[in-house]
Amino acid sequence: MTAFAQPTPTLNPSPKDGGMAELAQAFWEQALRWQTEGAKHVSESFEIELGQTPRDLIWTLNKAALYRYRPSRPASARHATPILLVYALINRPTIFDLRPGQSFVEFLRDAGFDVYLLDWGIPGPEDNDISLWEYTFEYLPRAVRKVLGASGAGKINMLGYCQGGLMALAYAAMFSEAPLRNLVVLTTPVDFSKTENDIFAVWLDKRYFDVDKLMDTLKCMPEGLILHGSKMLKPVENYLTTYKVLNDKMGSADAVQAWQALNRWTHEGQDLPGQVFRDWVKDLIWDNKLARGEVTWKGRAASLKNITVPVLNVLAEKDHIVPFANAASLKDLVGSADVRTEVIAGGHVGIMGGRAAKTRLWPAIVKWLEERSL
Amino acid sequence: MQGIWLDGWSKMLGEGVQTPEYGKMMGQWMETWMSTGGSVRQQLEQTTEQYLEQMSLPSRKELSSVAKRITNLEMKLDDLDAKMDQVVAYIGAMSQAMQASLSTPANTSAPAAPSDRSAEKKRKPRAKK
Repeated sequence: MTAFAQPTPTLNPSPKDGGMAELAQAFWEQALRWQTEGAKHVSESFEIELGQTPRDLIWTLNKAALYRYRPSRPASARHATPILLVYALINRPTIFDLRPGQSFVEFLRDAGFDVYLLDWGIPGPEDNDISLWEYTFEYLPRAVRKVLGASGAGKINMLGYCQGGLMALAYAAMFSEAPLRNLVVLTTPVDFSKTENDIFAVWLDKRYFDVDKLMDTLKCMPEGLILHGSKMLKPVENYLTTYKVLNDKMGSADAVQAWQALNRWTHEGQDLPGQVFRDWVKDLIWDNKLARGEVTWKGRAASLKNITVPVLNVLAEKDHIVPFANAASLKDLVGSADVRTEVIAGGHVGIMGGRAAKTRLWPAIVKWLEERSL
Repeated sequence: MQGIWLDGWSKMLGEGVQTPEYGKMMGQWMETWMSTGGSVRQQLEQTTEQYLEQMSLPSRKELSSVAKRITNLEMKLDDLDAKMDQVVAYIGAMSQAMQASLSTPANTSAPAAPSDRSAEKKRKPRAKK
């Protein structure tokens, strides 16, 4: 068990006399405390169990798996339309279900939703040729069919997060007959022509970045490169400030555990199949194909104008991964008359996994869905 | 003091990594790495494959190929499963429709069906003696 100390002096000591001796003493006390407690909290974070909400496996394809969470309400008290959660191929979908009390899945379930999760799984070297569009147009429709079969519903709500949001959009754009009632996308890039504050557009500039050569060499995008690439978007915050945040939380057991769960999730990455990375860079970042209606699969084209169901587009106010203008363009690209853009205070990950999520993002989604899922 | 220090570094480094010069530097670094480390890696892969072939052992490439075939089979099974669902749904709907038609009472406004006896008469005209 973790021993939690009482709140101790802040990291910004202000000795009354301003003497260097007191300042040095305070610094060393904090350093010692960090060494004994902070480091322990960091190492313990990798032992925290994520994704504890009870669930059943109902379908698999290759590494992908579809789970149904056991409901906490009787069928008569549940919403008729189930919800399918779709996360990115980068990192694990446990961001939806970090730990009890810090779980979006739990929140949805307790609000009366029949919750399903599509976990893409951890790809191996044999999956390096699978394209982003194969996952989207071959795997996702099959999962949707299984959700319909398991729930007995005629339509579903789909919620996609980050890259999963883009896949959900592409799916709805490709299949105008898709059995969707509502579509929710969180921090989802869609219009890559809007490059303002887009660091990836700078790093992956086709003048300097040879994606084919890199993928021919590496075969996949290794999780280490993804992790440190993401951290380098905000190097000080991700390599230093995060530990200061932990230090500041060390008086509260719950706050430390919340930090630990998020830290574990951040470091629980997975390799990205090489073809998916090629598609992401070439089809989206360079050619902006989804927004331009140029993504095709088996002779069909995906047009965002085909999306006529209600859409909730959630943006994070301080998103450093998906540029604001890129994600906000969605309202002008889809064919739906009911599009709501909601800006939530927080960062790309924090809006879903942070401690404020249960008072900001999650209730906003549930309220929007409840009005449209009866 | 620490907060100011971190904010200052954050601003400076955050702006630094957004510059085209940084993107260019990354690209050049990657190019150098691929030209050196990448080619060594490829040679090592080739050598390993040759060794495995001589030992009559499957290479990673061959195992990947088998895995892909299994996934293709899974997809075909999934397609069959979807078709089976359609057939079962169709049979269920047909069965319900048949049961509904059987349980519906005879429509009295319709012309009366000829009785078995009259039908028999029509089918078998009386033979002349």
